[in-house]
Amino acid sequence: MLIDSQQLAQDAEIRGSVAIIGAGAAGIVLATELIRHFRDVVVLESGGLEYEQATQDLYRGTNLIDIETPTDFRIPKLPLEVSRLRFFGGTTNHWNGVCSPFDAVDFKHAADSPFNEWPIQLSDLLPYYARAYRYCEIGAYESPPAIIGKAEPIARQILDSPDFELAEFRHSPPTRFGELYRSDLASSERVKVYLHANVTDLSVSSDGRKISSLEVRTLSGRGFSVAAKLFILCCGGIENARILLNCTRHFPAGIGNKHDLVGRCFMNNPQASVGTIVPRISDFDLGPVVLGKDGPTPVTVAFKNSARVATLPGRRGASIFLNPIFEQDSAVAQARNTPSFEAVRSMFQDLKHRHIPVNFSKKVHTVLEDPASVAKAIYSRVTEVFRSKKPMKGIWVRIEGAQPPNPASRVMLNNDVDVFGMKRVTLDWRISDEDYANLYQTSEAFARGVGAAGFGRMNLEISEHKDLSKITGTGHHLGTTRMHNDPRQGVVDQNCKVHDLDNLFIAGSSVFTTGPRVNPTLNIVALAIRLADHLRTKVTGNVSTRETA
Amino acid sequence: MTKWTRRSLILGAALVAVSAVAFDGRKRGFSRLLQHGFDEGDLALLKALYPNSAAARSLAWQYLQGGGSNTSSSLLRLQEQKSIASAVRSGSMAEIAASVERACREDFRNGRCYCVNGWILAETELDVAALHLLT
Repeated sequence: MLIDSQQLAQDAEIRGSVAIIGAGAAGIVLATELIRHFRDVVVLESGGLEYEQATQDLYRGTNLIDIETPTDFRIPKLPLEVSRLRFFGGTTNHWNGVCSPFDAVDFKHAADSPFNEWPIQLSDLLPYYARAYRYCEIGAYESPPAIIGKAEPIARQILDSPDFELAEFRHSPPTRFGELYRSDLASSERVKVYLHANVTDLSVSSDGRKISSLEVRTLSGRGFSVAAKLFILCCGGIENARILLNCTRHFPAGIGNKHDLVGRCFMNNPQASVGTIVPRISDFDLGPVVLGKDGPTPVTVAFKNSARVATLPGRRGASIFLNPIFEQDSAVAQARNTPSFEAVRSMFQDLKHRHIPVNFSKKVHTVLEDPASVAKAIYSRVTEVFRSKKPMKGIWVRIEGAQPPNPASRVMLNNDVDVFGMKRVTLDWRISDEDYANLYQTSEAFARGVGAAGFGRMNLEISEHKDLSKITGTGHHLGTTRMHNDPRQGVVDQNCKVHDLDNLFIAGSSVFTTGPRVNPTLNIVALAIRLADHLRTKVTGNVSTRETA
Repeated sequence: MTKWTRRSLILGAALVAVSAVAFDGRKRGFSRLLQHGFDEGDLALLKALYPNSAAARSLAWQYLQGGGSNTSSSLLRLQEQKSIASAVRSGSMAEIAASVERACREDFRNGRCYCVNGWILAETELDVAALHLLT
């Protein structure tokens, strides 16, 4: 059942068995799983069913540059209210849909990092991937994926190096969790989804061992409380930490923050366009290395640093993606570079992300000044599938690196407050010398492998000297409430329960102990299913019936 | 004859002996170079792998300036690669190109490569480019 909290009576007291805070990928999957075994599940979503600017504004915060670098070496800022979405379905509402499961190396890498040990292994997560694949609509889980075998002969012609291996990245439609699973939750009598419900405080029992209730408010001024036996925080890598740090009534440093760990070890996947391969053969078919199919599911087979390389001291994991660049008709290329087409492209991107285009009237005016170029560019784009491909003039190489935890890289509260009086966040994402060097060394090793295969030569766009202007983030917000069985090294234990509190759990990428080489969403879903199974076992005593691939 | 004259004779004989040994050594070394090295025609064949001589010179210049090698070392390394020498002797451009490419791939596998102007290139192909600076 979906309920607009703005219609609730002031100071209403809601009771449930499990209260899930946040309805993104993790929250929706948890709710969907838990209603099979629990009654009176409560889901609290800050937004409504659609994007609302006032709610989105609650995500506003400050994004610092890496303060260890000179000011002319700036990482392009990714505004905190743009990289996440705050309405039913969460950030999956603009998710690009790339899915890849963890492998064994993702659970332990960066030999030089003292904070690198997950309390679980790949084998603990494997049983949940079959269900996670279904949630993300990416076909059936298989290990190893059959498409790797198909891609291997092609990959061997591109690269000759023992330092790389192949990995499958499936493309979800992408699943908009809010749209796809809304009816399941709306039609169930076991769950109540409260929209426009902003959790502003977690009340702690007098003995400090439990969360007793949640204080919830709407932007329209309503306030109510939610009591439950179990509470699960699923608001994303930044907001999970923000909520815990803001709850200082019982614990002055914030909930779960006895050891000053909440918000620390923020990780991302630093990425760079590292260079271009000029192939010997211009009509080489890259096949699944760019885009293939496994049944109806589009799949890209990318390269990864080998397990041996990823675990060397000073090195990290990395994924390498190839994108062919084809020759273009000069007239079309010219049309695509006009201000009018650029304005169309920019407006399209804004609308795709459900934003009203910035400078809308100015951009419309720009388009009207040169409609012929727009028409030519759009026509060529629409009809390009019917035309024979032009020769490939190069292959653009992009690398996404893994990041080990660094306590100095963190989310912290600043003195700015939102309309509820909750402090906003400052994000201080750090990229260490080793993180940067990993990208360079990976690209150099890849270039050597391309030469060794006789495939062509690669021109590097990054140099060995740290230059953060080449790096961007990916919008993957990882860490901040990391999983570790030692309370001095992690905020949650291996079952995602906050240390020292008996009934507060956390789901989402904030529990990642280390930054993986792959995209987080599929793995967030697998961890959420695992948590749902754990809660069922914990409460009902039933042994989990794990589903294997 | 004086004592001085005897000394002159001894010194003269010693000088002749040393010169003879030196000449013989030089002669034998030169013979070796003639036997295994490249002549102007061979060099022209190798240089033809880079049809754009100006580009090759520019590449080679950056390679040498970066401390990767010097022209003599480049020439010697190329001469010492039997498969390249053999291909050059055959006079077939296809064979020369294939042998150089094989050597380059081996360089990449063994880390014998340099970053020149952003390009990751094999030592052998840079050595060939360096030939354009020889004449």
